Amino acid sequence: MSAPAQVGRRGRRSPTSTGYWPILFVGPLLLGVLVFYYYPIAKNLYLSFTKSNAFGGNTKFVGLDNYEALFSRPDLLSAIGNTLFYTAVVLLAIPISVLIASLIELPGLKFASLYRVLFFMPYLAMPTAITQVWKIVFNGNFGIINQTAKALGIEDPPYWLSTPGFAIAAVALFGLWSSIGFNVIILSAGLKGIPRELYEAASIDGATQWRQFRAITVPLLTPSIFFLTIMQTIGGFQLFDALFAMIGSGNPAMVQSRSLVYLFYNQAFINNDKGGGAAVAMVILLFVAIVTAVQFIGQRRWVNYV
Amino acid sequence: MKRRTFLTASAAATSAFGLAACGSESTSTAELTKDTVGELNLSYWDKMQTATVEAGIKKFNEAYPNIKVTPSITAYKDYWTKLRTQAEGDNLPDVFWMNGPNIKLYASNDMLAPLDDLANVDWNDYPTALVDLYSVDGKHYGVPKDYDVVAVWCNKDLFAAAGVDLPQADWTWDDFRAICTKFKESGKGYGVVCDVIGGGQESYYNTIAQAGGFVIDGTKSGYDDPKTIEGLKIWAELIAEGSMPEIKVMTDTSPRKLFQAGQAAMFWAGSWEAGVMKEEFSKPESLVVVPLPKKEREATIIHGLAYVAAAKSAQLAAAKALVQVMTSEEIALVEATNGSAIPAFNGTQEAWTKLDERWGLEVYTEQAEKNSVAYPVSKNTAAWNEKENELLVPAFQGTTQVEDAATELASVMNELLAAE
Amino acid sequence: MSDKPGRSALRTQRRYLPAHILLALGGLVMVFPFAYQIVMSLSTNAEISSVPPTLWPEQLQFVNYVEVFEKLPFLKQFSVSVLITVVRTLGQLAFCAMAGYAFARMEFRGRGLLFGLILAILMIPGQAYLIPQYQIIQGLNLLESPWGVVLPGVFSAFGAFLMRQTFMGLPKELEEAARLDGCNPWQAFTKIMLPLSAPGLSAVAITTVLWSWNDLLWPLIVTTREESMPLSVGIATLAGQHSSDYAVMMAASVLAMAPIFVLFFSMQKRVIAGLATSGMKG
Repeated sequence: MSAPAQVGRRGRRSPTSTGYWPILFVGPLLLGVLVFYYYPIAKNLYLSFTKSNAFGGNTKFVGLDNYEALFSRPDLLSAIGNTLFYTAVVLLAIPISVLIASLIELPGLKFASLYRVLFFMPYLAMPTAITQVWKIVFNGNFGIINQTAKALGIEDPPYWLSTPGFAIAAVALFGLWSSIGFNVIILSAGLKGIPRELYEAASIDGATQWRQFRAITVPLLTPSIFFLTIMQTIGGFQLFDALFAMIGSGNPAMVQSRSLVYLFYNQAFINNDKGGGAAVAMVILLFVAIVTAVQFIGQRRWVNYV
Repeated sequence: MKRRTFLTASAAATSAFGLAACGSESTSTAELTKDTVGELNLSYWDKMQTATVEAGIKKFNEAYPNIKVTPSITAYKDYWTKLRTQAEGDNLPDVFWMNGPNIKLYASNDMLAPLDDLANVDWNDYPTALVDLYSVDGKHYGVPKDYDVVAVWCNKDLFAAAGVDLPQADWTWDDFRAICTKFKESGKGYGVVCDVIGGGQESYYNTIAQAGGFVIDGTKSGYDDPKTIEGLKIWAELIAEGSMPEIKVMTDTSPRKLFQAGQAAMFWAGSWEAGVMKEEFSKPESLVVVPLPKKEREATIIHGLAYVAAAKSAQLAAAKALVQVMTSEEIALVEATNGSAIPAFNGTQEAWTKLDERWGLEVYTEQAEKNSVAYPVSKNTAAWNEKENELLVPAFQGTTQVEDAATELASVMNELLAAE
Repeated sequence: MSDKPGRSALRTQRRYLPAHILLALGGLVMVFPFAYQIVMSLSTNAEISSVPPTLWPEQLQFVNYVEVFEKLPFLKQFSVSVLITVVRTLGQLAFCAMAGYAFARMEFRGRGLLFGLILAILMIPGQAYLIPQYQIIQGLNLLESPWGVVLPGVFSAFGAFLMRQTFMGLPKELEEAARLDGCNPWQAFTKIMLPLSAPGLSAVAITTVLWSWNDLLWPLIVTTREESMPLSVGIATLAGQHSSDYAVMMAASVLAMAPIFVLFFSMQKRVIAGLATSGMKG
């Protein structure tokens, strides 16, 4: 009972806020992040105000030129639009994943471990195999989707991967599919943290399963759901790999399907303009940071931490 | 001078490498002898050519047993990203593969060592177009390793089924178009497929040259030249009349696959397709290769890879010696036998044409000798390559006019060239 | 054994029938690429590239699996993959659990800002890090080394964030009791909170294992010799410029993923479920 005295004055506010402990706990990660990530970010910020040759030599300070060039790009708006669209679709995977995860974790469900594994399978497949399959699915000549559409009487179904508009939709569907596995892993873990007694008590009170889902599962999953929302938003804004794998640079639909990161790649790696690429990267950072900050402020309304 | 003597001597007989080295008095670190100790890195991207690379290293080690050469393979897709990263870290491999679109970028930014002092390299041993491709500001920066040119693959079964005669070796655009029309009428499939989406190497670069136009001349784009435009229009017309599949069809299923599936009678294709056909085509006896048709002139675009040495290599002399061995006649013969690419060294190509004797692959090597036109490049090739895709593909599809697209491309390209 | 529980279990499963149907259908959609990959790994390249694609090879080409060992130093690269995955996963678990705990449960000035700064490293295109990170690793003389491959990835914003969420979802009472018993924050963390956070830890572990095992671009930049490459990079070298040996690539990738699959299948129940309940009891 003498413990509170030892904890001290600051400890009264919160039992763990003592002295230098946070440095010990956060320090190792912070050090690594500073060296391996903030040094590059700082360098990138500097580069964004310069022009140099393809290999970083001959650097000249050019002020805001790179940013002006970016904001006068005719494809900037559509890149923002495509990125937002993709992110929105990928976020739709979260409610679907909540449903799947809570079905898998139903008490006493048979084959639960098998189902869990099935939903992680996309991680086990080789990216080349995955894109190959999806390209076959979306193929305009013989793809499963168009064959089905024709069987249903749709005369001239679109060439998904080579028609502007449809192409980004196909990539977004692919993104939605790919994110489910990750979501389910996280949500399964979140569900395991919910005490079974809560459900038992609710059952005794006569709550239906749907009611239990709404009143217990979803609220107690909100920390995990919030986590996924943030991660998928940040990830959605980084759309590039899926776009490149599914559409590719020679595709006539690519011009209208570009994402923000594509602009970065285009500037830094195709046009060999390091400064211009760095400016795109900084704008993406700022943009995502604002969106994420808003989400963090908004979380207080809907996320329950015990 | 000393090294020059040694190199000339070793050219006389490859086995004389060591002997000649013994005769040279080494005064600086640049001198190479049989006893020189060192380590070299060699980067390349094609697993199929590992055997050839290893044969070259073995050959090199016969002359320099104490120089360890470490080969490093990176898939083509990531090769350039990695190379760029290494370049910026001043850590380029001592010797590596280079291609046309990148040579000027690397050479003009002082990343590569000039190779003019390679005395036992006779530049006449390699196709002139390739030697020029790897020359920047009058200096040689790469020794050609292999080349590829374009020709037409015909599916004899489809020609027979449609009752159409196979093209003659000296055929013209008119003959080509007539065959396409007959195929369309016969309903036996498309007349032709060709990659017009991923760049012009197999398609419009050739027709532009055949029509008498040009893609680039120094720092000027040729896309607004009327003859260049003629070379572009043919593709739009082929698609419009239904002789070639629509762009969307060829985007979703590659021209190669369409041809292999028997959906098209002719396939304009680079020589690298020979290896693919050997591996993948189900009825090899029905294939035959003919030269590209001519318009104002005969032309086939030649491109090839080269071995280059890093300017900042710690052992530049050794690196240069390795470049020489890798591009020597002896290794060229190994490459031809392995069949992975047409070696660039003149007179070593025959073994490659025996990949499948029924196909008449010598068309490729003959055309390379007689009618090759250099692959168009500049310092920042990738930048305007992207614009080609962006502007020309819709024109081929018919959503824009070829003249408008070409004129716009010319002005965009001229801007990009000016910025280089 | 006894009749009664068996029958009630059966009743439960019958009640769960819609769930079973939904999960089985969904699972099928998820598993399809992997199944197709196995089919491709047993086909010829001609079959893989045919139009439309062959769904079942005429003859199963087990020889593709033999070729993997001829074309790649498979076992060597496999051991590199194991090493970098183990180190990266353990490192991430340690750093992220500690940082996540501090962000969730300690109050200190600048906590929100610091957390935001760590999260921000995910908001910039990954390729922008490539060259500076390469130069750091080069400066540390760690090119070609597994440590060079592991290093940047050990510091993970994802892991720190997930662990923060996990700790925030745990009841405060246990920890407070521990502190009242005289535990210092380190003891409270290791003895009480860490066991309770097992579901979060296992989620971080699973995803890190999978990411590290599949990671391509960074290890490809750092390693140049075939014997210092992890498998992901080794398999990628099989791709050609104009065409690829897909059949062998797919076979190699099936072989690469098989141990992960077995590990995951056999461990997942214990990892996710087992630790969680023991934590609750503690």
